[in-house]
Amino acid sequence: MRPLHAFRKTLAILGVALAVAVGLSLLPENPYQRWKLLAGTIHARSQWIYERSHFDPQPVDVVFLGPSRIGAGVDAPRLGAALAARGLPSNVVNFSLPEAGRNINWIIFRELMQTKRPKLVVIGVMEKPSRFGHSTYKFLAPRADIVNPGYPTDFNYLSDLVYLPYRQAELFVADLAPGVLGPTKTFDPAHYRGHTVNTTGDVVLPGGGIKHASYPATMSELMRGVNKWNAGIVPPILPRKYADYEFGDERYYIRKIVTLAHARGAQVTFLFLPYYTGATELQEQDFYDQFGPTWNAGFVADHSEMFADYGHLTSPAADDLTDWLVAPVAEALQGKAQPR
Amino acid sequence: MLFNSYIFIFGFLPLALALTYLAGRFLQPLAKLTLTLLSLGFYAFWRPVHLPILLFSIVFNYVVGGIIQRAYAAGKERTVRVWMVLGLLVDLSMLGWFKYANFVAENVASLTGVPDPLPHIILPLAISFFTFQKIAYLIDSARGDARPMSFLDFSLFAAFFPQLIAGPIVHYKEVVPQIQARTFGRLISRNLLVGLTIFAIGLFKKTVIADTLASQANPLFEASGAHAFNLASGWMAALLYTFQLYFDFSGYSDMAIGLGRMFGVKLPLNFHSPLRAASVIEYWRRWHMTLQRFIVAYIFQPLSVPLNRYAAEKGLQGWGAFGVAVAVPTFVTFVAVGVWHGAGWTFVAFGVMHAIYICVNEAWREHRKRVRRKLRKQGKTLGEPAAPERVSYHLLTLLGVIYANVMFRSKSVGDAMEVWAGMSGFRGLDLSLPAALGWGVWSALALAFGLVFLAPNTQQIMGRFDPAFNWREWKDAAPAPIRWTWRPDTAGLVFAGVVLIAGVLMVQRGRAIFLYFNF
Repeated sequence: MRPLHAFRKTLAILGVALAVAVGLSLLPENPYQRWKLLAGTIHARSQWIYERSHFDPQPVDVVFLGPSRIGAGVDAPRLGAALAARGLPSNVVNFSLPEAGRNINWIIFRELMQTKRPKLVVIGVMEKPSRFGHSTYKFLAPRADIVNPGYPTDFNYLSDLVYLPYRQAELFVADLAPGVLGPTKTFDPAHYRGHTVNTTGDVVLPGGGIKHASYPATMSELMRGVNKWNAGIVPPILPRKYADYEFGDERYYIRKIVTLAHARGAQVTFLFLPYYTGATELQEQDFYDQFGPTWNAGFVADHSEMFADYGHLTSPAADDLTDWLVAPVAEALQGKAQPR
Repeated sequence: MLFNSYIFIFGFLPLALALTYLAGRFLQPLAKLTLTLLSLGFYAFWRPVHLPILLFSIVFNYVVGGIIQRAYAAGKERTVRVWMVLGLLVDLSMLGWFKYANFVAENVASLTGVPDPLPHIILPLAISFFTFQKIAYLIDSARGDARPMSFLDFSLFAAFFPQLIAGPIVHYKEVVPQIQARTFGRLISRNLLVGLTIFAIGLFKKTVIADTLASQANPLFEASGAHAFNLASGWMAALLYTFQLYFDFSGYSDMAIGLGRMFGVKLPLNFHSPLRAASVIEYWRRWHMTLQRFIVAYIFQPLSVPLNRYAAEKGLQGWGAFGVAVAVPTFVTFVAVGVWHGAGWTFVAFGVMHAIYICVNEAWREHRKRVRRKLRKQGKTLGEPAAPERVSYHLLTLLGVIYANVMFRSKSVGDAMEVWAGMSGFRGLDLSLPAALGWGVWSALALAFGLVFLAPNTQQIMGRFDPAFNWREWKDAAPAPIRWTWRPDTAGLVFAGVVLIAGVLMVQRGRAIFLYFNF
């Protein structure tokens, strides 16, 4: 009877599985289809972001990056119109995506910088940054960025990495049969959303429901959200000198965004929008101060009438905030001193 | 923690294997303790607040089982009976409170108009499974089939994570001798190899097949209140869900058996190609087999034996005898099966449907027996059914199962009847399908159909390696048209590796919960 060599064969099975995974990860893809993977989700705006960056020749002068608070708070077309009225560069885009995680802002910004030269980059920040990368990073980031995110404390590393073979297989199949086995890969101007998109106001959810943002939430709704948000806040665990590790996602990618922006002659500014009753001081203020000024909209924190939910402004409040931003953005574009 | 999650596959499982076998190198009890604690952690990961319920169940049943065993050894029948009844009452009360209190209160409230006084009670994970396991242990103890053991052995038997959440529902005699064997806790590579391959097949069935079918079936059922089912969409929903349920639960069971094997424990089979059965009785022998044998041993037989005696004493014959000795225990048993799955009228109706099927099946068997007897008297024999008749048995069984599964899946009896109306042509013969169902639905159905009706099942594939505790009882049953057994040669290793990685990668589509976790 021949020996089974079971342990070696168990390792062989695992080796085959690993080899298949690596092979799938190396399959060719079409990046446009990758940016369409989030169709039907709350992050579907990624498709427009890619189209605006690659298929629309209109320049981008001011770009907003950040989480959904920035999306709900800054009306890019309104800001652009106000800047145009002052005779300033007025191509404003709001490239924020729902949820926190700085790595996705970097991926979006780098994509934009392949084709555009914005003059001002506004990065939305929060009172306490996320320790984790963004949930859509594994969908949108090129494979090399997933394999090597560049810093040691990427807590999502394994879950992002293990998604890569599946994603590449999906994209490979989509590339072979676009529109049948995946998204199409040709740009359709008829369905393009335009040079700029207003990200404030009502949000159409994937199931077809609408998250209303034209009127304020009730006090009980607000406080339910605030309490939930507060319960999820975990103060820094490590001493400040290890913040680069504990908050690696925030710090590593802010540095990368700033470095690339400065290399291409763009200014960098931070914009803070608080949640209702939330702190108006930033945990990472010292860190941000190294790279640019912070526009702190902490004055909205106590105004329940401005919030559609615990952390997002109503559309009238977003108009007010956008109007408040006109002056500092104009001054930044004119190269004048900026307010803190 | 789900078997089809990365935290389990890349975190818990390798850690549990490493720690258990490392501990086993030094001391077997240490390996048992390690695996027990890991199993409790596995349970608590979902909802830590429910861990005390499991712990209580373990301690209580260990104590009561011990008393029963000692009383049995001393020949104290009355003590055995008293403690068994007490133990069963506590176990069933716990299950009743958590699983059925809301249902009963809601129905009482709707009947009487008095407001429902109960808050929403969250069902502890796996309570139906671990309670049945403990009930079986107490009855086994009362029958002299379970012997005294250490608390550590009992805790591991009761909490062993591969079977803890959704079975197989194991008996003392199946698992305890294995964990008390001298080899337990020692790394035997053959077990790893075989266990990993079975786990890979189960994971594939769950994430590649069942979840694909679920993605097509769920929208149809979820929208059942919003649109009328036609002939095509009704059948599509019913077929998709029937295959989904099979691949979901049999995939889970394969994973449990594979995991058990990795730790050196052979668990009993839970599925043996039930959708290929030629009768409903045969279907239930091969679907959720460990629940079925529990129900037969502890509900059907205790009812059937005295009722048979009663029918004989009363001189009942024909349909009268059939009604008392067969129909009554069958209805009670299958309503219990239905209600075990959940507190709701759809589950009651599901149980009643299968009870009717079984009664019809039993009546048919009785009819054939009579014909056979009659022919024998004439010197003739009743031949085996011809191919068309055999095919009709298979189709009829499948049809009954599919119709009942619609009830099982639907939110309400009314929703189920909507689907049935479509399936039965009461909404016309419209064959159009919802636009959302793409070409993928046909490929998923074709794959499921091929695997169910043509391919060998997991234990048949792994037949060379004695894949389950009771494999020898089943190895000749329900052979597949396509016969293939796994060998650890190059092709077999590539097969296992590809199936494993396909299953792992498809986890990405969303870690859908196993359907039977709800029970």
